[in-house]
Amino acid sequence: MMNVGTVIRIVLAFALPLPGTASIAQSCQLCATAPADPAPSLRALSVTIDAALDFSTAVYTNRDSGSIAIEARTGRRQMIGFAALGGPALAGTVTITGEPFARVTVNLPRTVVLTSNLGGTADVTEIRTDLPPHPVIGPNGRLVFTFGGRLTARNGVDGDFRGRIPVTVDYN
Amino acid sequence: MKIQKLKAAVAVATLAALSLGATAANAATANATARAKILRQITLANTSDLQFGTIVTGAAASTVAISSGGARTCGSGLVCSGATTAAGFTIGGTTGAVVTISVPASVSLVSGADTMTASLAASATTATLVANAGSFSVGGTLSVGANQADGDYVGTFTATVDYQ
Repeated sequence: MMNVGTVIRIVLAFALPLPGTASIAQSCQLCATAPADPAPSLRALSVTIDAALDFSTAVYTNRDSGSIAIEARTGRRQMIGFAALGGPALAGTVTITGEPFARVTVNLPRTVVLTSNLGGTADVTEIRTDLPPHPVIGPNGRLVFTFGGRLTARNGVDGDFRGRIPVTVDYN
Repeated sequence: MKIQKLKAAVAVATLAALSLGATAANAATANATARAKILRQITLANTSDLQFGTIVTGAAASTVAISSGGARTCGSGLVCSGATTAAGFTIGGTTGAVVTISVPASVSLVSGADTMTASLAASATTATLVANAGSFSVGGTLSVGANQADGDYVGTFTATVDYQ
């Protein structure tokens, strides 16, 4: 009677591909290599400012504070405590280019501070766009939107006011 | 014969292909500008009158002119005396702003039922405000009739200043 020990040696050869390294050819018949799906390549996004948010020229009326609001959708201007001195008020206009039909997220700050050449400051608040809740780049690879806000000046500050509003866009 | 049966646990390794090569689009940013020009209310104050002084009339019509600096030119046939001044005005507004200045072409001076007319001329039609202020003066030329009736002749005119 003979004891036969049968040793079954199963050799599994497999390789876990590490980032940046080449995969090792495997002999495992029960293993399968999942195909590496290529990630979608999206057109690079770009942002172009077509028009500044321009509250134009105004003079205080009967007090030393006031506000000027520009509606994003219509560009209409509303003044409190100011009188217009001519020149059009303009909503800001931005053009985004990127992958057609891609969803994007557009970010603007809600508030910025403008500084005048005479040292005063004025706040621009309620910065809003005319974009829908889930903006999508059009079939031509472009998305154009406008934005407005409310300028508030206090304590009789005057002069030429300037400020920056960063516009950031990313794919969802 | 004893047969060992080995149960071999076969480990099946599922290979996960790590895909890191996707070209994800980066966020894009640009800076928009917000701008406004805000001006304080303009103020205008009168600091001196247009004063032609005392005039003794003659048999012929003549004129008396006051320059924007207040200097008098007494026309022929007239005798002029007394102090003269151009009308003076001070302006208040936003530093650096340009304002336009306008005065009427003439003003009527009245004494009872008698009148004379003086043409007016401002020292400037525009001014750039410095330190929130500016100024200008107004001279004029008074037309004195032949044997103009005696009296104290007075008139008023309105100067207007506005942001350009």
